[in-house]
Amino acid sequence: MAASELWGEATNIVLSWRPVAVVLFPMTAALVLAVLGVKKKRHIGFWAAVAGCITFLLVLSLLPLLREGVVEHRFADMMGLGLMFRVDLLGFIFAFLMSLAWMLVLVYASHYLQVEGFPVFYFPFALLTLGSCLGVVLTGDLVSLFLFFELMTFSSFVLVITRRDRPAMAAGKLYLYMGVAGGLILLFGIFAIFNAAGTVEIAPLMQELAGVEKTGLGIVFGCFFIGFGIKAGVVPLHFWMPKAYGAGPAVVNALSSGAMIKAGVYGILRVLLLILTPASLEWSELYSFALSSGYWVMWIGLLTMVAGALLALFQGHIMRLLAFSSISQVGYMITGLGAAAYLLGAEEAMGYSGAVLHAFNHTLYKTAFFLIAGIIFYRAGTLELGKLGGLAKKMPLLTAFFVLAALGIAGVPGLNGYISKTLVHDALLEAYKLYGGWDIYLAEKIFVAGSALTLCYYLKFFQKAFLGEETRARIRSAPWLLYAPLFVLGLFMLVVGLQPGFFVEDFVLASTYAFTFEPYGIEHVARLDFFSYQPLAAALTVIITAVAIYVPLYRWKLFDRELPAWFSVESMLMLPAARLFYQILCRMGVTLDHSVNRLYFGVGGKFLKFCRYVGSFDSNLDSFFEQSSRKVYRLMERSRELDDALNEAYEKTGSTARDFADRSSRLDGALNRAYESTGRAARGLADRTAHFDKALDKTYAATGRAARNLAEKTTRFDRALDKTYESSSKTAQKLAGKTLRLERVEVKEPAPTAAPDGREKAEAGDRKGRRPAFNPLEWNIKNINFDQLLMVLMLGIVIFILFYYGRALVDL
Amino acid sequence: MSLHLPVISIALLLLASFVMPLLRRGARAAALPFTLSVLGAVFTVSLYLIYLVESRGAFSYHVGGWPPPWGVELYIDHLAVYMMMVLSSICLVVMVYGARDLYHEIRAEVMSWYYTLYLLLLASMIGIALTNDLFTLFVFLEISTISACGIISIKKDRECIEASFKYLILSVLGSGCVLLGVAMIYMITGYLNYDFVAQELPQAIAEYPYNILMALSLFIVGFSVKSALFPLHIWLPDAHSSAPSPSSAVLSGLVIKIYAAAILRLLFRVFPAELFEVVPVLDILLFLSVLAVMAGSIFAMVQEDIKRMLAYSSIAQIGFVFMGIGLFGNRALLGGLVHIFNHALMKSMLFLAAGLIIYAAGIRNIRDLRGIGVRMPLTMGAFAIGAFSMVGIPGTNGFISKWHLALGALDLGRPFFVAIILLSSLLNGIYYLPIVINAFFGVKIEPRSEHRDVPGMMLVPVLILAAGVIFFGFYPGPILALLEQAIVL
Repeated sequence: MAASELWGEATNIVLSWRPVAVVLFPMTAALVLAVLGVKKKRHIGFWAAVAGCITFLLVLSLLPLLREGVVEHRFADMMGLGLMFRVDLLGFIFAFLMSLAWMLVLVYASHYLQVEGFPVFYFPFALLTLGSCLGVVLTGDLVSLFLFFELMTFSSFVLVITRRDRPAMAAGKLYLYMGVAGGLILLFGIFAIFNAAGTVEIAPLMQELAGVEKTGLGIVFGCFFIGFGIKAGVVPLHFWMPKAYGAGPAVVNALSSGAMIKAGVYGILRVLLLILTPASLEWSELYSFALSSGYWVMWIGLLTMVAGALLALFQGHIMRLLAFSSISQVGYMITGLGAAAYLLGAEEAMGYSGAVLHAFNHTLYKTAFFLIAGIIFYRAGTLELGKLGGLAKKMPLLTAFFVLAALGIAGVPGLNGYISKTLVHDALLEAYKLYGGWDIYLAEKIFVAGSALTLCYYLKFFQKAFLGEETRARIRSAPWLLYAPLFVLGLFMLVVGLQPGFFVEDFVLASTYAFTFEPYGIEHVARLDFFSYQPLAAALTVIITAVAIYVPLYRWKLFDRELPAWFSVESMLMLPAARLFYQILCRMGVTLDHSVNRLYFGVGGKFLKFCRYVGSFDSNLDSFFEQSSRKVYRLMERSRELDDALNEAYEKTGSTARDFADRSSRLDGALNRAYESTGRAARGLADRTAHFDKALDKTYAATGRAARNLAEKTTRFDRALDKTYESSSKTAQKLAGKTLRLERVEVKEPAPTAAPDGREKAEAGDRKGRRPAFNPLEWNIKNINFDQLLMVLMLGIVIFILFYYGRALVDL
Repeated sequence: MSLHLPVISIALLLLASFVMPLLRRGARAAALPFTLSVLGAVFTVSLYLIYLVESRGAFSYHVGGWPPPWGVELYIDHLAVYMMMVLSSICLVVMVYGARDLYHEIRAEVMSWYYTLYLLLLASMIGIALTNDLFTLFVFLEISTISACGIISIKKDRECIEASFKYLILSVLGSGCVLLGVAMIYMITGYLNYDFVAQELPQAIAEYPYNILMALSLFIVGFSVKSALFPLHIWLPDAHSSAPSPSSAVLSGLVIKIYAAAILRLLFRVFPAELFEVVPVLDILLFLSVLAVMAGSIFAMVQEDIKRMLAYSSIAQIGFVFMGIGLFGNRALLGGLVHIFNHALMKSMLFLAAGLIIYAAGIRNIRDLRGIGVRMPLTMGAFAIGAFSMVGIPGTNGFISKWHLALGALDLGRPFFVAIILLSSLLNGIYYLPIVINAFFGVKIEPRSEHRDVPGMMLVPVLILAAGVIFFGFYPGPILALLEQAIVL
């Protein structure tokens, strides 16, 4: 076979750091840009584009190594199980398409983002997402894959909310929660695989899993399918996509649709065709699981294809149309994979190569579509199909690219989509040949119908946007840099379409060396002639069917109708489910809380009452509240008593002061009397000397003045005391209700020696009063009785259970 | 000399804690460096003991040279040194943070008391981890209870005092249960030393089955109150949310887990294994742990206060530890035990980060956190790492414990518990991720109060813990190797 000459054997392992570098370089670049980007907003785009180009070159540098064999690098101790990078040709194909899409989009975005006002986070997180996407496809075990898959979810979340407006945040949250839920479901599958097989390496494990019963395997595969399917947008897990795409700028959607959803497809591919297949070619019972799961996957793929295409037909917003188109296109890949698994052991290479090539092709034209939509937005300022029209005259170059991509996606011979669609279609035909049955026959017809619908909605897109009345929007000019990526993508599309052999044989078919596929099936695909009568006739059938659907729809103007809001999986199934889930959780919490409260108020109250009853022998206590109010009342009373005591104290002090004053006046009188008597005596004794008399006179005056002073001082003191009493009694009133302890402090208080000193003390009392009161009556420990009761209950239950089972011990 | 190290480290902590309040006004500045150096010394000792136990195997130490059953015996095995390492490392890092943070939460006069209580708490926890007899266990249990209440109520506001009062009452009741259990065991066997009791119990089962069952149920209830296992968690949200942030970090990260480790010791080293085949003790723990995991997450979802939310999240996380014990398979036990360390890292980091936000912006309400990530990128970045770890994103240490727990459950053929683990991860995502999203990408609201600068002394510990979360997410090897030795019971 030609493949083995070009590429190394799968058993030949080349140890190299390069895969690690491929993954880590964009992540490091993201970190550097995030740090630098804070200051230099304008140049960040340029450097991000450079980083994207370097990453692309790094991915290409894996090629020479792949010629020798499978590239590996292991970190033995990491995360307990070891982190393993492992690149085979399939991983390389996906890495190639991702890094290609990223490089082109980053180059485009460096100019485009000025219409979006240069969101700061875009470039670093785009590079981080690139690194994690590459990590997903370049790792060799499920845990490492999961690591990068989760990283991708979180970093791409930031991309989804680039615009930060309300719809973007809502879409982002939906995306994140679905991503996290999907990741955990995926993790369940990984746990199960590891438990059953003892390894998480991405390798054929069916032999190790042979012991697991079929329902178990079904659940495991279901977990993987849901986990990866959410990212890939498989119906009915697709509904985040139209929301996220509708709310995001073109440069995010191009990455998401062109590359990120491929990570999901890649995961399904690896699990379905590699992990859950036997390692040997010999036919055995081990195949049966792959066959039956392949059958169901095929049908889910067809459902996704048709549902996506049908919904796309009725969209009026370009981004939403492209989102549904992406869903529909993922349907092709899933159908191809399902057919491959269904045909396992025979013609599996047909479906496999169809799916892989379609993933590559889809990257080419869907990236192109989103970039075209970006240019339309850039130049015309709107993406509503109803407001656009006649763009063909104003943007001839863009129209040419659009036609190229549309013909590519519609599967017109000569372009890339034709090749991969033919392969998937042939796989369905092979299945019909092998198994027969009306269901497979129907599947083939549905496939044709889906392809026809694809053509229809692009016709609608073309007619609404590019033909007809010219738009009234002002058309800006766009720099050539925005067109450059389209040239590259167009070139690739033409090359794949005209030279399919190179891609199909040397890459896609060669990548089967990692799988256990029938050699003759591979040979069959290699010998397939894409330009023979039968596939061309099939393509023609599709085109005729498309016209047959389109013309009546156009005549009756059915396109202009939007589907009603309730008509979607989201509003019919997922939203009610999510609401129910949330309701159950919240209700449960609230109900529990309420019942605990009620239980407390019931049980705790009664318990308390009972305790009080027993403890105090007071049958008059009606309820806890009454008692506490009585306590408060008592407290009030006590404070009044305190008040009275203070009053008394004041009065006492006052009367003492008054006494003092009286006494001094009495002293005055006594002195007077003494003077008089002395005077009389002196006069009686005869006024011997005038000097003596005068001196006496002076003494009298001085003593009198001193006495008056004394009286004045006493009244001043009296007034000061009055004030002190007032302030302290006020504080006392304030605090009495709060504290018992304060009481003691204040009772000591009303004996101020001097006025200022008393005020100080009152202040000190005040400060003490602000401390937390250690008054259990005031504490709001509402549940403590309940808690104790709960503890006793628990103890009782545990004892009961243990004793119940412990009877066996007694019998021992 | 090296054999004396365990008891020396406990004695050092006790001594240091008693010296603290004696420091005079002038010497108070020395309190912090002194505390830190003591903690650092204990951490170094714990690392050395790990090396010692790894190279020489487990050994026992008789305090004062008195052999058991009369003397106090310390048993230093892999589990004990693991716990000691976890305790001392987290305590050291949290203290570095607390050195700055505490000054704005508690009054300067009681700072030295805080050091006392903190060191006392660590000493008692290490004692619980190392002890090999029931009475010493009880003594350290009481010390830890009192000191834990102390570091809550040291912040003198009403909620703290109420919460710590509630904690005190319930915790003391729990200790009472444990004491009764100890008494019953002593009554039957006449010994307090684990090894001697374990020798006697198999014979005693036939004679006194009900006493043993009674003791067992008292231990279970007593320890589950203390470690806040689901229906007895009621004290935890109040206590952990109102305490000063460093206290919350230590209480949530370490204190509730040491009791889990203690009951693990009791169940598997003291009680005979045949007992568990007859009585469904482990199933009771398992059932309660499932309830804890679910209820904790659900209660956390409806919280508005960030620290309260973290406290409820702790209830869910302690459920994982008990799930590991209850499943009782090698790998599940490994998962449960490694979660002790992992959760200690991430939860103390989350509490410290929340404390930083409260310190810098004065925000406690989750809704007001919008746009805070732009103002405090490093703090919220650390918080985001913690949140991812809670959800169990690979690359963080939360993934490691979930991985082992889930595989352990599958090993035993019980996929139901895997579903529970994953569901709880999803619930964690539902309440942790919006905080992170709003903090970084939410529409900014005007800050109400002026923004304080974040001191480096407080930021560095948070970043160290965050780095630990990532590091042990990628290189859990050494910890797992140590624990694999530890669970060979």
